[in-house]
Amino acid sequence: MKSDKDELRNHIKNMLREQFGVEEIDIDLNFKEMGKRRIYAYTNCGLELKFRRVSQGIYFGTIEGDGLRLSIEGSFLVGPMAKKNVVEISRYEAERWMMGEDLERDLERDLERDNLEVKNSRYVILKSGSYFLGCGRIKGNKIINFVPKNRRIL
Amino acid sequence: MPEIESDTQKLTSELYNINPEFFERYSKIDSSEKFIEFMLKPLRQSFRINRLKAEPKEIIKNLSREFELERIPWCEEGYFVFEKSKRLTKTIEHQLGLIFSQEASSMIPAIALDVKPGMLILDMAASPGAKTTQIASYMQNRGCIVANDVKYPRINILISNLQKCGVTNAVVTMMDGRSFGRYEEKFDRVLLDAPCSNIGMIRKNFKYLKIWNIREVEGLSKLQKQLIRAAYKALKPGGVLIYSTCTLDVKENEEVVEALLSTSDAEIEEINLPVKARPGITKFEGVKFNKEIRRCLRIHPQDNDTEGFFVAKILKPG
Repeated sequence: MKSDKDELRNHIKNMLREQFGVEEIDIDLNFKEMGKRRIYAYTNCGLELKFRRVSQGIYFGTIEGDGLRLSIEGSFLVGPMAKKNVVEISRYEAERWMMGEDLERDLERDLERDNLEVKNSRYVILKSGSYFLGCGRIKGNKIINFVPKNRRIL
Repeated sequence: MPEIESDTQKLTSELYNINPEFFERYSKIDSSEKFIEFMLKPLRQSFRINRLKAEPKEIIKNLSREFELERIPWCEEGYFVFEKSKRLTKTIEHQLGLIFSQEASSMIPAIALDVKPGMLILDMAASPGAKTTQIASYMQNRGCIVANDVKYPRINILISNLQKCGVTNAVVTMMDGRSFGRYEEKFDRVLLDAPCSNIGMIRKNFKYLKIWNIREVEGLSKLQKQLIRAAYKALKPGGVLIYSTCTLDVKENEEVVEALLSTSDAEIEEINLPVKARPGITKFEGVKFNKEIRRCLRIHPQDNDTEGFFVAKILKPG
């Protein structure tokens, strides 16, 4: 019988495959759900010692009604394996994005170039060079910003 | 004709006026003019590239457009940075967690710890997490780090930095470090970057000079001796324990290592890194310490133009 942990792991893996074409994550990640559908990722380190744990792992993303929205760190973990829905942006755009601004995009042009499937998922991973900048949500010709305030360039 | 006071003399009298007790104490440890000069000089800014997220090449290329960078000789992924018009904290590299602002000498303990992916590591006083995230990058997120701190506000900063650096293999605990002695011979490596009087930090903030007093040093020394014994107990035979502080007082450094050596089978190993340092002090205020203590690294501010630092690499035979 599969545990809840295995079920969540499979669910996340399926979402990553469907949304971003991620077939395999190259690190042995486990997931746990905390709070309002917030997903945390941690490496299974086989620690047998008993401690009162304050926290383990990092915030990976949130399961929204319309898909999985990755955090900046979630995008770094799976971005290198993503085969679709990755929008390449310039350094200038990356700086605007990190200031918390939405990005104006010609999505007709980007659909083919960035292998976008906006019908199935409206979340895209933002990438500049080898940097991953989290997820944005496509709305019209805009990519809506989700960079948390404490990570923005002010 | 009155003598013209040199800059160093002026600085010395400035330092003396802020805290005469400190001045008298430290003149026994380093009475050179250079020591005073560098203690009062603003600290050079430095950072470390977080290899969990990116390789250095692209980051260095991007940052070099806006900053003057100089590689830190003892840390492959560490750089001194000279800000021009922009601040490092205003870069996307900083906000994405691709780089971590960290004082150059404080990069030494994690290097000396000699970690390998898959190991079980205890970082006994981990907050704010600079060394924890450095260790995680050397482990490539494989294995396990127990990152502990005793105070809740400090734990929050630690968790935030682990998140920013993408560390997935850390378990954060909030315990009194002394209680780790009960996990006997369980850890491959232990880092004890001990709570200290923060003298090395004077270059960052003069408040550490103002608040320094010998009673606090004595209290800290007692706590550090209890912590180092617990750390050594938790270490597996054949394992490595790094004891470090950002202070230069003998009571908080050599005397603490001596307390461990005199009550255990611990051995000191030399740290071979391209860093200018002086040997550990083996005689202070009439008290002689074990000669092995010479193998510890004592870094004074003028040695590398960094903050003052002390590092001991301790081996458990087995």
